[in-house]
Amino acid sequence: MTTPHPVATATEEPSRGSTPRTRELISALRARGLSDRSGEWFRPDMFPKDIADPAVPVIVRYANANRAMLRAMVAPENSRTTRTYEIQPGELIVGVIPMGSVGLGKVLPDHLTEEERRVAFFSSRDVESTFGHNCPDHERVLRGGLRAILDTCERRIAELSFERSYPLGPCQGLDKKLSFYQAVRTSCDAVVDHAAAFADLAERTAATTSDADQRAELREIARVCRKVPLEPAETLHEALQSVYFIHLALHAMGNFNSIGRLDQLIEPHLRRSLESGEIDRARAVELIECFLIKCAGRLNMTSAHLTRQDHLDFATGLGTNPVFLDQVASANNFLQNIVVGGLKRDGADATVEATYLILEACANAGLPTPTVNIRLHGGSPAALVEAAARALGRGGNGLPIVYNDDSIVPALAASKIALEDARDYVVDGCWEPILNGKCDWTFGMVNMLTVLECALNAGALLTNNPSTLRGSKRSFGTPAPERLIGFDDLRAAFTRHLGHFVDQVALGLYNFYAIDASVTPTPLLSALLGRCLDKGIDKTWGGADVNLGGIIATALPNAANSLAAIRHWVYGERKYTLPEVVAALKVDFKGHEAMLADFKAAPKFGNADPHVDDLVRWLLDELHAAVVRAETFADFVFLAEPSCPAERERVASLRALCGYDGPSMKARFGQHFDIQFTAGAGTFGQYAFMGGGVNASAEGRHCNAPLTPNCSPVPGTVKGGIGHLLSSAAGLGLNRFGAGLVFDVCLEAAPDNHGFIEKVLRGFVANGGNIMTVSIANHRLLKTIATLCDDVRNHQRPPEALDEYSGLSVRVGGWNAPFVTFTQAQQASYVARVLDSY
Amino acid sequence: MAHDNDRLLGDLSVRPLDFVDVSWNSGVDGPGRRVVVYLRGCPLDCPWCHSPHTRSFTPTLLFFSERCRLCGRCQAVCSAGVHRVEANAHLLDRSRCVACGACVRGCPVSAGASHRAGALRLTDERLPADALFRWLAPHLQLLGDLGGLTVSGGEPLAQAEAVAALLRRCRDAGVHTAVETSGIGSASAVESLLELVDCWLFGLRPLPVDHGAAGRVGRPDRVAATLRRLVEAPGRRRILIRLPLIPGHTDSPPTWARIAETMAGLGLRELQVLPFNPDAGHYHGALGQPFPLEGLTQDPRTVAEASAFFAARGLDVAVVSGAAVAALADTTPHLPILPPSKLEKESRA
Repeated sequence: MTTPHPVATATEEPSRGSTPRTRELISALRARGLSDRSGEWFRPDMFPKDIADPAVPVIVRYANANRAMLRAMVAPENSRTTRTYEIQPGELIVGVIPMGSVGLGKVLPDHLTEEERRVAFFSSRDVESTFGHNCPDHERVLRGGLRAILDTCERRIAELSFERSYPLGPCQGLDKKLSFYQAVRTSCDAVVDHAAAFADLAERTAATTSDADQRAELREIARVCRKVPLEPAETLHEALQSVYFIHLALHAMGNFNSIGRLDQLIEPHLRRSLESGEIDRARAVELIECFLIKCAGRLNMTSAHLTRQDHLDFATGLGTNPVFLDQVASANNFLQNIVVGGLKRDGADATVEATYLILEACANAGLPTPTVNIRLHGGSPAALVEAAARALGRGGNGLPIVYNDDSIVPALAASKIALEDARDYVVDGCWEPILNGKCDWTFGMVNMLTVLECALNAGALLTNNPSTLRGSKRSFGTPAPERLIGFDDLRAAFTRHLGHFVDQVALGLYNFYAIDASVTPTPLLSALLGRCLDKGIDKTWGGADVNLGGIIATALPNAANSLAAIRHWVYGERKYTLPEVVAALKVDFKGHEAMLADFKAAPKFGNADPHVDDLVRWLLDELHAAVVRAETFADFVFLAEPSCPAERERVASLRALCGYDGPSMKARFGQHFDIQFTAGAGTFGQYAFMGGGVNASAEGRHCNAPLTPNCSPVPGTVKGGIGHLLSSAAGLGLNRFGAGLVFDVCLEAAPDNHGFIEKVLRGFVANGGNIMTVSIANHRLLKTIATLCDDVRNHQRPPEALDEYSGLSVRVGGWNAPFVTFTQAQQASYVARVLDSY
Repeated sequence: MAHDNDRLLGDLSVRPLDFVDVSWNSGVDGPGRRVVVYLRGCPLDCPWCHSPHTRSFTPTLLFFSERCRLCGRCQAVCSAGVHRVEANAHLLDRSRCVACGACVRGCPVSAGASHRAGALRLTDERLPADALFRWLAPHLQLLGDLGGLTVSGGEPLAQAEAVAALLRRCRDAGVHTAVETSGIGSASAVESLLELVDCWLFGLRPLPVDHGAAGRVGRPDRVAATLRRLVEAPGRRRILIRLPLIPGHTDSPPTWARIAETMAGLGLRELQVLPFNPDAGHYHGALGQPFPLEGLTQDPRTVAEASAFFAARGLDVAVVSGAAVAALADTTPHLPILPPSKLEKESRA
C-alpha cells in the first residue's frame, strides 16, 4: 500500500521582517548574534568608583548606580566597545540595552559597601541580586510621562522635608521616604537624560546624512526622544519609544522585567496615528517589528562564545539561594514578556487591532525574544485564535505562548486577588502569571521526585553512600519501605514530605522580604508599581499592592509516572516488593534490567491513560492542599500580631527559628502586607540541569537524567496524539493553579499547519488547560542539527557549521532560544518530544 | 516469513483489528488532517512498497540498529536464539523468531518507548474495534471537522469485518472516514464497507504481476471489479485515485495513459500523484531485507511531467508529499497543491 511517511519539509530560512528596513535590521542583529559579543560587555572600570558611600542610604546609592549606568551607556568612549550609544541605519526605535541575561549575568556599577557585601554573602545577596520578575505600570508613563512622577517626587520631598524640620514624633520613617523619593527622582532624571542623549545623537546623525528621507526620519526620532518618556505619548511611535526607554532603563540595571499588555498599552496611540493618517497599518507593523528587534538586541545565536561572556555571580537574582541554573540554556533568557489578548478588567474580551498587529509583527520578525504571550478564553474571537495559529505556524519561533484565562483568572481570584486584577494579569519571568503593574513576585520550587524519594526511603534521598545508613536525610522520618504495606501508606508518606518541602518554600518567601530591602531596592521600578509611589515605600520594603508568592512543583509528571509504575508492579501485580524497588533505584537499576523494562512499560502521563492520570490529579490535589496549609502557617509566623504576651512569645520564637527576628511584617511593611501564595507546576528552562543529583525514579528514569520539561509528558513516552494530552487536562482541575502549570508541546512542521494548530489552541482552552507552549519543529531537522552540534562539541566541525540553523528557535521551558545554543541534554530532550508526525 | 496469504485472505473475519502503527496527524492520507491506522497484512508484494513491515499477516520483529546499545539483554531473554550480540554488532537470525516479544520487553531502550525511540519492535498491536476507537477518540475529537480517520495498510479489505466495526463507531461519533486500498479483496469485503466509508483512497497502478515481477497475487481483474463497484454503488462516495510515481515502474507515459484511460472510462476525476519516497527503504532495513529499489532517486521534473500529463487529460491532479511540495515549488510554481481547506469543502459537500 502507498502510505507516504513523514517527509522532512524544506529547511529554508523563512524571510524575516515585513519590510526591507526590518529585514536589514534583523540580518544585522543575526550577524551580531553569531559573532563573539564578549567585547560588548561593560567593564567595571567604565563606572565611577564613589557610588558605594556608606554615608548614603542604600536606595539612594542604587539610584546613583542607575544614573551612572545610563550615563556610561551614552559615553562615546565606552560605546566604542559596548555599542550602547549607536543608532543603526534604518532604526525607528532607538536605545541599546547593554549585554546581560539570566544565564550570563550582569555587569553593573557597584552600589554596595564592603561591609554590606561581606554580610550579604551570608544570605546570597549582592549587587546582581535585583530580581526582575515584575511588570511595571507602563501606562502610567504613557499617560502622564515621567514628569508626573517627578512632580510627585518634588511635592513629597518638599512635604517630607518640612515635616522633618518640625518632627512631631520619631522621624526614621520620614527619612526612609525622603530617600525613596530622592532615589526615584534621580532615576527618572537619568532616564530622561538618557533619552535626550539619543535625541542629540539622532540630530547629529541627521546633520551628516545626505538622504532627505533618512534625515527626516532621524529628526523625527530626535523629536520623539526629546518628548518621551518625560511627557505623555501621543503617536504610536512615541508610545513604543516610551515603553522601550523604560524597559531599557530597568534592564540596564539587570532588573529583567516584562513589558505587559502591549496591545492594551499602544491601542489608543495606534488608533490616533491611524486615524490621523500619519501612518498606515503596514507602517504600524513595521514600527512594532522595530520595537521587538530592539528588545532582542542582546541575543547570542551561537554557543561558541558564551564562556567569555560569563558574568554571572552566585547571587544573580534568584531569591535567597546561590544561583542554581542552567547557564547555557539561560544565555538568551531576558525574562521579557509581552501579553496580548485576554479579558479586560470588566470581564469583556480585550482583543483590539493592536493585538493582531503585534501577532503579525512577532511572526514577521520570527525572533525568539521578547516572548509574546497570547491570552485566550472561551469567548476569544475566532479571528484571534486563527491569527495566533497562523503566527505560530509562520514565525518559526514558538510564539505566541498560550494562556487560558478560563483557568488562570479563577485560580488567581481564589488566591484572594480582586477579580478585576485577576482578569488583568500579565506574564513575567519565564511564564509566571502576575498582576499588571501592581504586584511583586517571588517564587520557590519543590521537586516532586525528591518528595517521592523521601516517601520511599523514610525521609532520606535514595543515595547509595556507605557512610549514610539509608541515604542522606532531607525530611522527617516516615515508615521504612518494608512498612509501607499498602499503596495508601506510600501516599500518606508522600503527603507528609510534600508538606515539609512546601512549608520551607513558603517560610523562605517571607524571609526574602526580611533581607531584600537592605541590598537591592529598586526605586525606578517601584515608582511604576502600584501605590509604592503614593506611599513612598519601595517594593523591596513591601510596598507593592500585592505580593505574590508562587510555589511551583517540578517533575510532577515524573512523580506520577513513578507512582503508577509502583502501584502496578508492587501493589497490583506484586512482582516486586517496595524494598526491592528502593534497592534498585539506589543502584540506578544496575542488575535490575527486567524491573527497569517493566517500569518503562507502565502507564505514562500524556496518553489519556486513567491508570496514571488519576495520580496526576492526586498529586495536584495534594500540592494545592499543601500550599493552602503552608500559607496559613507562614502567614501566622510572619504576620501575626498577638496581644497576649504568651502568644507573642510563641510567635517570636517561631520567627527566630526561621531566622527572622523582627516584628510582624504587617507592622514592619504596613497593614496591607501579606504574601498571596499561588501554586503551579513547571521547571522553567532548568529541567535538564535540575535532573542532576536526582536519583533514579521508578518511571524508568536514570539517575541524573533530565526532569520532564515544565509539566509536560515525559519526552519519548507519548504514544497518542496531542488530543490525548489535552483531553487529560480536562480532568485535572487546572483552574486552581495561579502560578501557572505548563504543557510544552512540539508539533511537527507541515504545510498549511495553521488549521491544525488552531484546533490545538481551541482544544487547549476547551479542556481547561492552563499554559501551553507550542514549538513547531521538523523532527528530522532537529536530529540533524543535534548531530551537527555534537560534531562541533567534539571539534570535528567548526562552529560556523551551525550558522545556517541559528534562526530556528524552540521553547526551553522558560523562554525561547536558538536550538543551536542548547546543551546536548536539552537537545536530546527536544528531539524526543516531537508529537503528531505529519 | 513463510505464510500463505491466499489462505489468510479467505479467513479474516476476526473481530479485533491487527495493526502496526497509528499516525496522529497525517496530511497525506486523505482529506485534511488524519489519524491513520496502519493495518497488518497485505496480499500484495510490490517491490516499491515503503511499508513492507505491514505486509505480513503475522507479527514481525523490527530492528533499528542505530538505536541498539549492544547491551545484550535481548540475547539473554530470547529462548529461541534469535539475537547474537557481539562487540560491535547485533546479529539476528529471524528464521528462529516466534514473535514472543520477550526481547522487546527486555530491551532497555525499547520497553515502553514510543515508536520513535526503541531499537526493537514487534508489529503485534491488536485491539477490538471498540477499544481501538476509544484509544483514538481523544485525538479524533480534537481534529473535529479538520479531518478524520483513515484506515490504511496493509490492506483494509483483508480485515473488512473488523474495519466495518471501527468505521461504524466513527459514523456514530460523526467522524469522517477514509479507507486506503489497492482494491484487492473479496466482493463481500467491499460490500461490507460501502456505506461506512466517506472517502476511498484507491491505489491504481500496474500491479507487479503485470510486469512479471516477483509479485504474489496481483489480480488486475479484482482491482477493476472493486473500483467499478465503488463507482457504481448507490450513494457513491468520494474516490481519490492515488498513483505512486516509482522509477522504472510507474513513472512513464504508457502507464499514465492507462491510468487516465481507466479513470476516464469510470468518470473519475480526482488523482493524487505521490512522488517517490526517498526514504522508502527504511522499513526494509528494519526487517533485515534488501530494498529492491535501493539507490533510486527521482527527478522532480518527472512529477511535474506526470501532473501535466494528467491535467492535460482533464483530471484534477494534486501532488501529495511534504518534501516534494517544497522541492517542486522551485521548478513548477503553478502546480496546484491541494490545500486541506479545499479538500475539506469537497468531502463535506
